[in-house]
Amino acid sequence: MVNVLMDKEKVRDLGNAPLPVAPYLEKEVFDLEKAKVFKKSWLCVAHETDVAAPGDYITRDISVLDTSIIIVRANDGGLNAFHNVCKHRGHRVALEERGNARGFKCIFHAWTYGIDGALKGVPDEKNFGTLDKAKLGLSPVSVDSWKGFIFINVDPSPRQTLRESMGELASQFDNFPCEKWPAAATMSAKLNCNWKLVVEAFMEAYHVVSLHGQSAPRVFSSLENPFGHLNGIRLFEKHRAISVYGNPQQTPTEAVKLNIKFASSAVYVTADESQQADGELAEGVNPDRRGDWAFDEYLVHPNFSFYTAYGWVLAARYWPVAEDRCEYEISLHVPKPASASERIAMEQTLVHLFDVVLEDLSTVERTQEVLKSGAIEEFQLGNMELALRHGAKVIQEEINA
Amino acid sequence: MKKLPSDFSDLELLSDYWSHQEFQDRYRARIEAPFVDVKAFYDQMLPRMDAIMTFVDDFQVDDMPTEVCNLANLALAFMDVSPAVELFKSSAVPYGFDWQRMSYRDFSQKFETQEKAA
Repeated sequence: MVNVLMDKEKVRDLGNAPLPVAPYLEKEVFDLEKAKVFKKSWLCVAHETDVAAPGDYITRDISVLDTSIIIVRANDGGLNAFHNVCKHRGHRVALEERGNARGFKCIFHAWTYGIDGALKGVPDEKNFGTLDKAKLGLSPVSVDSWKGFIFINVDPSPRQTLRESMGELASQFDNFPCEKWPAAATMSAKLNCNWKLVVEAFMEAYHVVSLHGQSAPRVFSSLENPFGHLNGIRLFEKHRAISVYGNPQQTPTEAVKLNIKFASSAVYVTADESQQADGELAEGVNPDRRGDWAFDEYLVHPNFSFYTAYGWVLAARYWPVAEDRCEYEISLHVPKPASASERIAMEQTLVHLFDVVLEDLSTVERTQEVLKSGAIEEFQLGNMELALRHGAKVIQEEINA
Repeated sequence: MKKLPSDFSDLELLSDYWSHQEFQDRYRARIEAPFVDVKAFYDQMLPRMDAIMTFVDDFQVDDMPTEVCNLANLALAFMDVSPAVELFKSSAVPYGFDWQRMSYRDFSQKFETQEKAA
């Protein structure tokens, strides 16, 4: 996949007009995004390790889909997903966030379902006259996984399979071993802002010199690259990626030195192939094969960020709730610490991520609150923010389709 | 009562305030402490961290003597204050998002003792 920063024509094709502010404020736009983007797309909702054994299930309330979803590991090892809605009178059949079950029983009137979704039992069934139980299983939702991440699609007939929808991006990670890496921690927050402000806050590195000037001094910039220009921007049909510059001469802090000495999960340390846990180097990780590289962020349309380095993955999701509300969550996936010292080392990675996310999330509500003033009608974008331009274009095309 | 293994008795007085099993409790300790205290904790811990991390590896993460468990959690607290001292020069992230609005779910193995509390 071509690095568009090396291709002046591609950059020109995306245009240079400012981005209008209206799509961050208007309920009509939010309703269209919900109907034509989110209800039609493959969305990452969980990780394979969340449902490792047969009967393991999780439920997720996803307001932008107007539903609650159950994802359950089938007895044959496959995945099933259902709307968490009883076929009797619509109550949720699973109330816990996660568990292991041989079936689901709605507490309202005790209709019971198997983990395959089939309706098994109806108390006082004769009272219903003729009830075709075979047709009253839980409503299925399309489900599939990629590199350990579980995606669903609530469109009754999805336009594409998950693999087709991932397109060229998928094969770039064929030999990347991240499916074995469980989440070490998940951080999440409810935010009073439009979801796109959050996606975009993370989809460029122009902000790092200023906003992360203290938390990451001269990590993503250097005397040679004072503004932290990206190593690359890659545009897939609907997805996009940025490859973030890392200063090879950065000075690690004392805590980072301990992390590097005792574990292999030191996030933000510049290109060091020895950090690759196992397997060959994936094409999609440091695609430019540069020594001055920190990490890549792939934005899988519309709302899943997949950050990659040699020994870790960050998975972030952005869930719209209303035109001015959303939820953000980010998980660190690393090989499970093998000892007490590795666990302590990993804490440096986790707390640094936590603090950096506090910096990143600080901007989005402060922006949303004043955007309503009408003081600006458009955002000015530089070439290092091209990925934002691509994201806006993809969403607009889906809304127009 | 002794809180830490005798090899680390020099850190004994730090344990009560800083050693906690949960991230939120360790982070709260950082935020609620004046920065001079956070810095003093960091300064006292830093020269001992290498020895701590080597020492705790003689034990199973989920079956530690209580004093070792306290020590391991103290080392986690060192990591949790490190950005405050090394980067921000402030207990909290300057102009940062309200940390208490962040939900934090730790899925990794916690340091645990199988000893019954006295």
